[in-house]
Amino acid sequence: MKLSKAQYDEIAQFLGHVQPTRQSLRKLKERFPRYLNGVMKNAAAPVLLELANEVDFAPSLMARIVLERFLQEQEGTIPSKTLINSMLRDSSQIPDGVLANQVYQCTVNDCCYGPLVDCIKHAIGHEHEVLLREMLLEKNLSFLAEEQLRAKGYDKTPDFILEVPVAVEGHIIHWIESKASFGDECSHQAYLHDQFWSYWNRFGPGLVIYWYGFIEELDCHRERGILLKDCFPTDIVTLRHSMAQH
Amino acid sequence: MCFTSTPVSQSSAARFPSGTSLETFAAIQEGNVTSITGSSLQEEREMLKKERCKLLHQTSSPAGLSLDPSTPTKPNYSWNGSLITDSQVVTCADLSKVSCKKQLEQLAQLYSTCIAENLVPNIFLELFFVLQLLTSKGTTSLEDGENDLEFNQGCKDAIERQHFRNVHNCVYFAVQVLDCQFEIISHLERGTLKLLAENERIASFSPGLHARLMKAYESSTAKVSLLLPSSVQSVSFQPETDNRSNFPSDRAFHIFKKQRDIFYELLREWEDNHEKPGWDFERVLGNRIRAMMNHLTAAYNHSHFARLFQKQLIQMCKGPIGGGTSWGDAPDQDVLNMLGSDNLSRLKRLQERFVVPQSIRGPCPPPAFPGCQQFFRDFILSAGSYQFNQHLMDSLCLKILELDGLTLVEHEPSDGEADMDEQDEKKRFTVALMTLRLLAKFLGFLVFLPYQTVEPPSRDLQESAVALRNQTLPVLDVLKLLRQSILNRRTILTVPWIVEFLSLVDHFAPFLDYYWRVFSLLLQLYRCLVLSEDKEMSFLNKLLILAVLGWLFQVPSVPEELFFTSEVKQEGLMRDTMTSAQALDSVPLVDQQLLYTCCPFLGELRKLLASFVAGSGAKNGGFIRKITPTAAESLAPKPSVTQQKLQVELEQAFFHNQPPSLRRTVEFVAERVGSNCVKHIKATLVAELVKRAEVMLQDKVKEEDANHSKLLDEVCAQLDEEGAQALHKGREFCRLKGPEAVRVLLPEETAAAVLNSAEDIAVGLATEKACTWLSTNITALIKREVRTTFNRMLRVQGPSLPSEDAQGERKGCPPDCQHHAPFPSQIINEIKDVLCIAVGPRDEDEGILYVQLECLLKRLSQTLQCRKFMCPTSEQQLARCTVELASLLVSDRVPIQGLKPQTQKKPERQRGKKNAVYSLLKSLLLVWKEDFWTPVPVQLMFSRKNVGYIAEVEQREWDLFLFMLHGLVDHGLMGNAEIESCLHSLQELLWSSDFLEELETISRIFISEYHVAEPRTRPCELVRQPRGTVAAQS
Repeated sequence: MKLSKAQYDEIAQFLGHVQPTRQSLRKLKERFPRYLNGVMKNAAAPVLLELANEVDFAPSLMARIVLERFLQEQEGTIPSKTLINSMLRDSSQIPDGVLANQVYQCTVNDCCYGPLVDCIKHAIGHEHEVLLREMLLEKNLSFLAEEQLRAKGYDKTPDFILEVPVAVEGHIIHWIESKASFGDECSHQAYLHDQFWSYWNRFGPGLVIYWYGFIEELDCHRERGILLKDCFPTDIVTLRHSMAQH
Repeated sequence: MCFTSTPVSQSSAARFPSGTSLETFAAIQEGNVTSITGSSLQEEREMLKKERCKLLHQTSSPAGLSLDPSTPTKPNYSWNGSLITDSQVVTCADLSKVSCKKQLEQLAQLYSTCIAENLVPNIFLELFFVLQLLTSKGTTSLEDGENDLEFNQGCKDAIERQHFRNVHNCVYFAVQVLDCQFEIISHLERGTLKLLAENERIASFSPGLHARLMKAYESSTAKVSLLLPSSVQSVSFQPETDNRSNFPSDRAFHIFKKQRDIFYELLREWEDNHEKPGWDFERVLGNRIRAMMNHLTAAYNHSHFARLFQKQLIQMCKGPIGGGTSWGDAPDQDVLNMLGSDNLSRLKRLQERFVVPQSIRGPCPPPAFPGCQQFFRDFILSAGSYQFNQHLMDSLCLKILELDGLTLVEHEPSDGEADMDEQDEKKRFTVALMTLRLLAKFLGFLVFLPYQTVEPPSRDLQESAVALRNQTLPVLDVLKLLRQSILNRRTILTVPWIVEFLSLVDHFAPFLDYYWRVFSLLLQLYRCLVLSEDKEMSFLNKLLILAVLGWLFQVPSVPEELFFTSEVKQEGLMRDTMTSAQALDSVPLVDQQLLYTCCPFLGELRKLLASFVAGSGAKNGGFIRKITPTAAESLAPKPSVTQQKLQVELEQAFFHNQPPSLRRTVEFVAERVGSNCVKHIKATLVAELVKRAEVMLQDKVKEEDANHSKLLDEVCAQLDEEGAQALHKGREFCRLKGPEAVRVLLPEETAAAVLNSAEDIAVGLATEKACTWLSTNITALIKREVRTTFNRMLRVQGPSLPSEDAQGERKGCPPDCQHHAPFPSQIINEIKDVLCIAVGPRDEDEGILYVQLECLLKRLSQTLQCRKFMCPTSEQQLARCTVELASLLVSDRVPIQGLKPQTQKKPERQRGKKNAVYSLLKSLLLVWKEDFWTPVPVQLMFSRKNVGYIAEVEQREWDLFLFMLHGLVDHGLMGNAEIESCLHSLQELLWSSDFLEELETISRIFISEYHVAEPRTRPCELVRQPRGTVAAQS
């Protein structure tokens, strides 16, 4: 499904997602003492989660901030990112039992961020990659997959590099990247910068499939070599070995 | 020779604006014209100069011609192309009105001789001048009678006579010269010939010349187009040169990764914006470039970046006009569909009119960086990095030397297919030449950059500067290369790029001893290359060399005295008498397309003629010529030969009497097979060894927290012996593959003996190449690969997760799997929802239907059985989530609804619920045991947090927990001892005293049961009893 930018904006506005601001962060720091007071009274009460809701902040991000602060006060040093991540992933590792519960509650209740959601996103991404691989095999297009490329020491690796380039809707493509998400402006810009242009820089033009659609207007780099689709393309022209046929 | 005695008038100098270089107007050099003495030639020159001066004077009068027939020489460069405008009326030139024909004829002859003998610095400049005369517009004020009168009166002093005062004389002189220079003219491109052939003045003044031009035009096929379909692409990533092993550290590799992306980001930005008004390269990109260069300096990545830079430069700029100026140069598909392919050429012609620059600023434009070259030049300037420049120069020098060594396959003209070969060779040559010129230009730019000044520096500084700089060695020994090229008859390749290199000299460089010698040698070469068709060099080859040299002599920073000084030291121009296979000069490699591509300023001749025809503005029609772009191919480097001398000699002897293509084929095969052999060994033997190492490491890592690097060394040492097999396998590979390739590539008719020898040599060379590499690198390679794998292994495993090798046996889905199971992501999501409700906060009446849970676990099992969409992360998450779910079930935290039977009595309801939970736990245990490939972190059930769920309940129920303990043991998920130790460590945590007591009791019960109960009883039955005890105690 492709959306026009106008359509997307309307939806985005309707969702009314308030971005975390500096103000809400400041509020947050003030609230930290309240967490302690809150759990003093009732350790089982969802204090941290309510706190997050109050300042309109993603619960898992809230959990991260509080946990960071907790460890910092306990250890006296700023905790490493790896440690924090590991504790968020497995809240049993958190030395304080009450906080562990609170953090877990936040993680489980968060629909947008956090280790659990990240994992779901990852799983969906992987599933679509498998689907795409199926389609490539079905079309008899020979490719190198990411893990093969990595083994060869490529520094940037799209999901698939076609060993023999094909033309999709008249555009030559050398690689295909599968994205199991909706391509909105913000994420697409980030992907362009971190991935798609990097692929172009190394392998030439390629195709990005946003399985959950994208904003139509973003498909503006076709001439330069980045093609967007919301499904596996049907208009594929392959190289015919005319020399061999004669 | 009637002008010989004329004294040089002092006043002549006064007529010229100061600074105009008069010497270049007339260019008769002392020495070579046998019948004339040096001094008289000097006079001749002065005289010609004067004539021209007069002409200049005359035509610059306001009412006169706007077409300035003065030869645009340096430093007065910009011939602005202000051609004839509409308002002016062209006087009709009339042969009958020509005065002093005889003198004009002699003048023309003299002038032609100067051109023909290369006594002028730039023959095309002179031709341009002649065409200006041909197309000049007369004014009515200067009438014939007046001229005649003057002629009669001024008989005494020839120099006073105004031979060129009227159009008729000008045209007469021009036609005479053109007649003498017909051979050069006939080699110009077709469009120019057409205009000349259709020129009315030539037709009326010399029907003979007209007829010859017409014939030449009709038979000419030399169409030229300066538009090249360019598709700009990135430099592809090649693991051989670009992967991690080519960098000293991870950091350097990572930084280069970023630099590559930044470089293209800058390039794209430049592409998008550089033509917009007000866009300034330095202002917009300067700081970003320098920031990136600083990273380079820190990471010692200069050589990598220099290579990328150079490759991109070649890719974008080897076309004739400095590369396409837009990325999407290919015609739009819609337009193509609309027009059809028949009209494609028209479209292209149209496009060319828009894209190809119309004015090149006269017949001698200064060196420039057109099109995309501009980006690269500005990048170098903005970067201002000494290190980068040095690395880039190194890289350019190497590539130049490589390309300058181009050899062509000798083609036998008798062969039918020679034509095709010839075309191929021509293409290769063209590509090499264009690339060389591009690289040499950038090398020259870099080499002379530190000495460039905006204004020409005063000559006073010259002596000290020259003394200072004479001490340094040149970056590239162009003098040696030039001498070699003359000796080996390869000037057609070498001279054009040396000219590009030298065109960027600063004002003092030509005075350095070294470069003075280079210039002198070039000048000497120039004088020698008298235009005529001969065996040694084809006409167009010569014409190209003369055109580029002529252009060089007009470059502002090249001193004028160079050409006219008598101090030029004559070097003996030794030439190889035997034409070797390397010789290029004798091969007709240059065509008009290449000539005009290298010297686009030759197109000015045509523009001049066209503007005369049009009578207004510099209109020139589109014309088209097809050029097929070819990729630059690198020449197979000659394999190093360290065999015994005799063998080498025998081998050389073998090739000597064979066609050169045989040697090339053998060398090519050897190079490729050798390289493929190494790749093959890497992919098979090394990969296999690495896999074995992985297994070995996995076992050892578990054993102890051993020193990782020591462990690695141990394992690698074990593999070393097997690594030695590589040589053996390599030899085998080459022996197998070499002959195959040679056989396919050589002609079918090759004699068996020749074929065998060729195969043997190819195999030998390939083996040597491969084995040399393998024997020195195999150990290090294995070690590196093992280390990489090991690091990856450690990272994937993480400290808390046990290894997965126990599951190594299982592969893929069950045999009849349809892959219709729910996606893992779906199941994780659903479990998350359940956890969410269980953990809360939730509404009063919120809950989960029992059937829903039951179904979820069933689907979980299906999902885990189908492996198609499963990935480790998904599976690990499922394992973790289900353990969490089990903990919540055990502590009775899951609000289960829809249980049967729905009774109101509390104890029954309780029992019903408990049974439901038992059933769910049983399913979970089964799934953990049967369906998971990854180890399930059941230990998490004993974490502070999860046991805490039980502690928080006021009416604690331990039988579910006990049931779980037994279940874990019975399903082989945890051992007795393990559970005991878990329970033990639980007791060490901080709990309320009553909870601690209960824990102890449970622990005691569990231990006693498992030490006594042999054979085991059903766990369910066991649970009943302790429940009572625990409940009583609480």
